[in-house]
Amino acid sequence: MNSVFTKHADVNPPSSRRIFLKGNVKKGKKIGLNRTNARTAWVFLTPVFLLLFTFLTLPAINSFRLSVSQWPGLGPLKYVGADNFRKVFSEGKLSHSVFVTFFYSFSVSLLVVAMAAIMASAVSSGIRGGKFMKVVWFFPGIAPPTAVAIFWSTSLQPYTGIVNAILNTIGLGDEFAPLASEETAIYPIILVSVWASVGFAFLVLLGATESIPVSLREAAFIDGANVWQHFTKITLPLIKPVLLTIFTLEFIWHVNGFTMIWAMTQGGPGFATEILPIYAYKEAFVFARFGTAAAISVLVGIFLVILGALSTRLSRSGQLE
Amino acid sequence: MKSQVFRVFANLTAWIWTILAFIPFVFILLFGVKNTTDIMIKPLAIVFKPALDNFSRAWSGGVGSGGFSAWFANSLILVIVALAVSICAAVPAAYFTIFLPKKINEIVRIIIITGTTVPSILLVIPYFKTFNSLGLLNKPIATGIVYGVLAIPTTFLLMNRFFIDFPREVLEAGLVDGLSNVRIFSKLVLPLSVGQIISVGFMTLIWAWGETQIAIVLLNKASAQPIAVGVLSFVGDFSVDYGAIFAGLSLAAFPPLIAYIALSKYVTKGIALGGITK
Amino acid sequence: MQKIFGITRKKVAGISALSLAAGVFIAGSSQTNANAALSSSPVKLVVQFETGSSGQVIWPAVASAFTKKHPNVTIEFATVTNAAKGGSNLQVLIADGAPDIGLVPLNSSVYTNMVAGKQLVDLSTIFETAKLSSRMGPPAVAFKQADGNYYAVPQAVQYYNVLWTNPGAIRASKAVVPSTKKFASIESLIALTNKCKKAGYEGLAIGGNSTFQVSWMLDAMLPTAVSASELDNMFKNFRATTPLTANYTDSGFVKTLTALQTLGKADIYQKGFLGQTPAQAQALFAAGKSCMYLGISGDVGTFIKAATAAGTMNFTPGFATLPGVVAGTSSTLTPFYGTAYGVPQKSKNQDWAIELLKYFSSDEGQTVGTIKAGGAVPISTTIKKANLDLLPPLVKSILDYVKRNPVKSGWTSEVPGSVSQAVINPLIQQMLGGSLTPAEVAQKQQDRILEVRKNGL
Repeated sequence: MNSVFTKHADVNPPSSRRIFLKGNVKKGKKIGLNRTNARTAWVFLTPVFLLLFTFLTLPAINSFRLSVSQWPGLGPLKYVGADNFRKVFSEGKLSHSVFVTFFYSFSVSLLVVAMAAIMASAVSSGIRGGKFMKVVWFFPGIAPPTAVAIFWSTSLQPYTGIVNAILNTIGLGDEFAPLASEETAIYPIILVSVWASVGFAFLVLLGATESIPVSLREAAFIDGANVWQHFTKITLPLIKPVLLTIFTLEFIWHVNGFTMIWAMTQGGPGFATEILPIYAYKEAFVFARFGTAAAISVLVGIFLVILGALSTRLSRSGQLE
Repeated sequence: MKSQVFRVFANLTAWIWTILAFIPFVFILLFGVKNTTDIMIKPLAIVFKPALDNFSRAWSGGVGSGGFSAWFANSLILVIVALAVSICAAVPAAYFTIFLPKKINEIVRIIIITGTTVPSILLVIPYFKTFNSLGLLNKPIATGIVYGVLAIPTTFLLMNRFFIDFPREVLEAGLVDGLSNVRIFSKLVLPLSVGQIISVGFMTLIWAWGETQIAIVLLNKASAQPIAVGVLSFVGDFSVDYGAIFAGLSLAAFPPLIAYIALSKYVTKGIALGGITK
Repeated sequence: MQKIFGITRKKVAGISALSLAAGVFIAGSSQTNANAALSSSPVKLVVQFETGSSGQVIWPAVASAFTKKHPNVTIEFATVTNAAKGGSNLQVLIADGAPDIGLVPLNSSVYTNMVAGKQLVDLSTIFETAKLSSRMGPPAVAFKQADGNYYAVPQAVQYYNVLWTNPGAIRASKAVVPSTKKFASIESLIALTNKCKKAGYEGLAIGGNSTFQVSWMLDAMLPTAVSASELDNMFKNFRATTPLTANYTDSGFVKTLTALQTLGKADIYQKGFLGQTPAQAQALFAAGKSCMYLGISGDVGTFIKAATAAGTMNFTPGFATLPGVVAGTSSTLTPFYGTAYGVPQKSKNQDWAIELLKYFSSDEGQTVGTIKAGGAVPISTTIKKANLDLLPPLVKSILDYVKRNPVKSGWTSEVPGSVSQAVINPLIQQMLGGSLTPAEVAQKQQDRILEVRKNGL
């Protein structure tokens, strides 16, 4: 079996492969590959849908109900219509929270994708120690987020934190206290989140980069393209769909992110790092206003659904290159 | 010139990153043997009075708490169940879905992407209420199933992408050999997908290992807590036992790390079998 | 491992039948006649306390003594984390399988909502029949709820706004803490921290990142800027039934906030304080790097004890109190009874749970638990002197000080957290960070009070 696709990878450049595939699909129809497989698909998809419905849709519906009710955590739900939404929109915290959430998720996703792409390209072009790196780079993602948060928030303290201790030895003083001010608190959190997430993105992108047929890579070099052109004109376009998928996934995960920021700043100082999930959490568990918490979460959910749909469309169009 | 710069830049980034990725774990281990004040005040110190009792405190926990010995077992159950559920449910579905008309495949993907967007905080209360009435609270297996289902969307999406790009001629060859559709899947496709499944499985493993929001509510009894929740028991309003926390974190972080090192060969092999993931 | 005290007997059927009967009996009445329902068959009680808190040492001591008196009782422990105790623990306490004694922090929405939802068992027999009210004195008033019943029993008295001082560092900075322990004015506190900073120490170490420490100082200083009647109104005017006579936008409250802002602008805190936890500030102080630390009487039994034992803290701290808002006035220490326990309605052994809580709050129970095991100030004022002498010397000196300088209640301790501390703490953080003015903070607080008056908690 191995010989089938090593031959394939070395001999068939992308353009002809596409034609080959198209032809196969037609052939498939004749052989009946699609019909029975389609039935089997529904056999396996049904439990998936059932499980997702029970564990995700039902609670989501529950949340919709909650978002139009008032509930302090116990007792009956009291219907209040759009009151919670009105309150959330008028209280004045929503726009800031949305901004922080967006800024945080976007920055993290962008940095993760950029770094992972550079690293994947570096490793696949045969950097020294690549094997070691492949293993070590995933480490940050392995520690529980609480652990990471405690470690980094301790390390970023002025005077006594590791980061400052190091800055001091290279002469940059030891008063760097990014977590202490409203303007700067989000940045260390972004960096720590990137630190924890790059490993996974790197692995996936590495897979994508290395799947670019060797012949294509070699051909490019023969044609005289240098590393930079190679990266931008050949690698990048080919891995674009994967890049987009990773970007979207990271974005969605970080919009939903909670543990890391909570453990580092609890949304503070003030409200500087209060992303939407933290805002909702406080509404539910500090102020016992589950209705408002649900309203915020519903807004987040709607936004993410739109985002998810948009990105699927984008990545689909990217594929057809 | 540009390419030189780029190469140097890429190499530099790579090495800096390696240090950044690696060093914190050295420190976590170091902190595990220092006492709390030393951690706060002299973090870089290599000469200090070791506080090995951190580990015994972490292992046995405080009064009423399970200690790392209990937490580790619970985390393990969570992860194994989550992996079993998510892989068994999502992988076959992700494969066979590629044979549906493309439009339908897209719709299925969109529906499932929606699954990743439900904020955990809203799942927590309904889960608690239901589990409570079914007597399933403080049962790591039950929570593991929840984790598994929550991991289905990501598993499905990534495997589906992988299977869509899977070279069809392999499947054709199987048909020619007279294999049934299911056999094609189990005998031809699965062995070649192991690397990818392991990659995706790792995602689930790491997520389940560190998940806190849901665990804190569903597994609040000391004997049922996983590591992510157990570690929090050292955090109080006024005093935080950082020594024990880091000792516990060292114990917590190293098993998955070792597992990854052991399995990374499969992961890289799977990725290196080029020509598949495009 | 969960520690089990007392004798374990396997008469499960007997226990369930008895508990069921007792439960039905108790559920029908709001006041329990404890003695009538107490039985001598085996009973298992589950007691919940916060991990990493003094409850961890106090409860085992109390449980051990209790089970010696009542050998048919077995006590097991359940823990709740710091993060969950004010939030998701509500779900645990109102569900089947709730512990028999649960932690209900007094200024959390868990307590407020369980009382409102009638999910806690009335403890009037403890406060009235067992005379806890009179033994506690005036602070017991706050425990009586609007319906005339009591629902929670405190564990200890914590005095907060204790300015722990490092005598050596202060001497080295050529500064002096007033012998009365009272700073004469804001300026004198600033002057002291300036001297400390010149000598290379941090001034006042504080966990600015926490959800409570920056608002503590408000509690200490507010009584010096408003009249007694205004203060009393502020404790109560979140209820629509109380007329709103003292506004938060009035000068007294704003002046207090301005004083806090002045302190912040004068840089008396350690660098990066808004990003540090109390634990980090404690470590700074214990290692001798700051002149002062804003803490509680309970610190003696926690970080001071731990750091001294580990050899990282090499001095015995002294203490002082914060200045008043206006020069010449001085603030007092602030009492906190907030770590409290109640009996959830869902408990299956309510009568025994009440009996245990009764013991917990009795003079004997307080001596065994809070004093001896926890090193904290007991809630009862009738404890024998000989037993009070068992307190660590530092705590005793605080107690002496409190006797001579009666304490005033703190606003964030008296008013439910969702109306006071949870609102004002982040606002003060913003003010200290420079993005809000005292007037704006006061206005937002006023808005919240008005909203609660209109819509309820």
